[in-house]
Amino acid sequence: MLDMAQERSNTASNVGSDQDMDSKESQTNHLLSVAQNKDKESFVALFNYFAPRIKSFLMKSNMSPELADELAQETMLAVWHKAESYNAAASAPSTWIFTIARNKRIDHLRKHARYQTEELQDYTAEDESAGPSEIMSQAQEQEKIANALKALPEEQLTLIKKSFFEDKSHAIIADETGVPLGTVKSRIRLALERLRRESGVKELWN
Amino acid sequence: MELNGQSSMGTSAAPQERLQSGYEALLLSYAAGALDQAQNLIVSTHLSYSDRAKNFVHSCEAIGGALIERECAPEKMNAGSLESVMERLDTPHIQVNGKSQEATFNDIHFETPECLNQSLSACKSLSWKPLMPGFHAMDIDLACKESTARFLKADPGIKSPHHSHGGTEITLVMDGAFHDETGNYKVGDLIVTDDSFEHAPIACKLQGCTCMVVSTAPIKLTGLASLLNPFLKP
Repeated sequence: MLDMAQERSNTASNVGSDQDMDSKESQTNHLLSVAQNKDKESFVALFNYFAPRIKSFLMKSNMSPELADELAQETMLAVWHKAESYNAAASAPSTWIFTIARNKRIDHLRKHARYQTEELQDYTAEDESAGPSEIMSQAQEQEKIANALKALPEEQLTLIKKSFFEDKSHAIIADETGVPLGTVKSRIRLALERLRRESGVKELWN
Repeated sequence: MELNGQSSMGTSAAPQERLQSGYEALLLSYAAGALDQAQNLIVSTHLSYSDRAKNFVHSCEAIGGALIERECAPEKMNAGSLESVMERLDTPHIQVNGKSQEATFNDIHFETPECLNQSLSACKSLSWKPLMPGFHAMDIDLACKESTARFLKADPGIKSPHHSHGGTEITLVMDGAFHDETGNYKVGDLIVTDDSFEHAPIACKLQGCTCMVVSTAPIKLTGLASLLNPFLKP
């Protein structure tokens, strides 16, 4: 009996594994540990889990693997430096990390086009009094959104994915898919309504 | 090409509903990082007026987070990437802090949120130019090739000619108010219209109306006013 308990706790402390990082609670703990203690072990765990996914996300917008790797590194570097501004009551870790990766992509595209750069601001609603229950409700809400995404009709999910991954305006998506722009927009609205309904956390949406 | 509402929509959805779909789709694109620079700027400015819109964007960002976890199969990082990042962790991070800009601009008579001030400060010249009777325009030079941004000022009670939009037009009320067939709009309200849309806004009788307008293509006038169109090209 004792051995089994010992083994279980060993597994739990194996911070680098994907299994461990699949739990929102563990992601949040690692991120807070980076924010509060500059904990490099936690950072490695976050890196191993998120960097390959960010790279994959960036490659979906036709970015070369080399560049995607570089921007994924920059994203994780920003996670390290900005961790103190992470607000666990307002966002799940993957939401926060997504916004950093998105801003890196925008920033890169602008620089590339020699535009003036200006990051999207962090609009996270301010809420300083974050109890553990609020922290979990954020993570749970995101979990529900993730599950609701899977249940979307294919045509709606495709549009949501195209919006996020391919970095294209809805007019261009309409053009490419041959679906009228008005229909593209109303499908997106239907998808958002459904996600809102099924994630069950209405106050976040409206 | 037909310019009235039904032709390109293939739907009889009420204008309010189409406006709402367009609005939500725009906020989603903002969260996804798919807007151009001028569109980003007008949406950012809108968010500084509306907590509701902020929350909506935040929820869309949560979709982005979920997609990264569920729909992005991990791509192996290059050998040495982790090490390279670890080496850089202790290098002091230069925080480029957007200084709070309490800017005032000579010709701008309304309040401008901070995110807008940064862009306005970078403009070479900001001045009103007469556009047509009752209207003045001030171009905001953003060096954005996809869309143009400008302020449009309508005198009190002025009705703008009936027009449709050759592309996406985003309008944010900065001062005063206006109304059209679809409703009344006050400071902070944002309206997105596309080529399926035709309207004739009327500026508030007392205060007039100043809007920020971002468009992907020059507007097209419909009806008799279309005769004027060639003279209105920016």
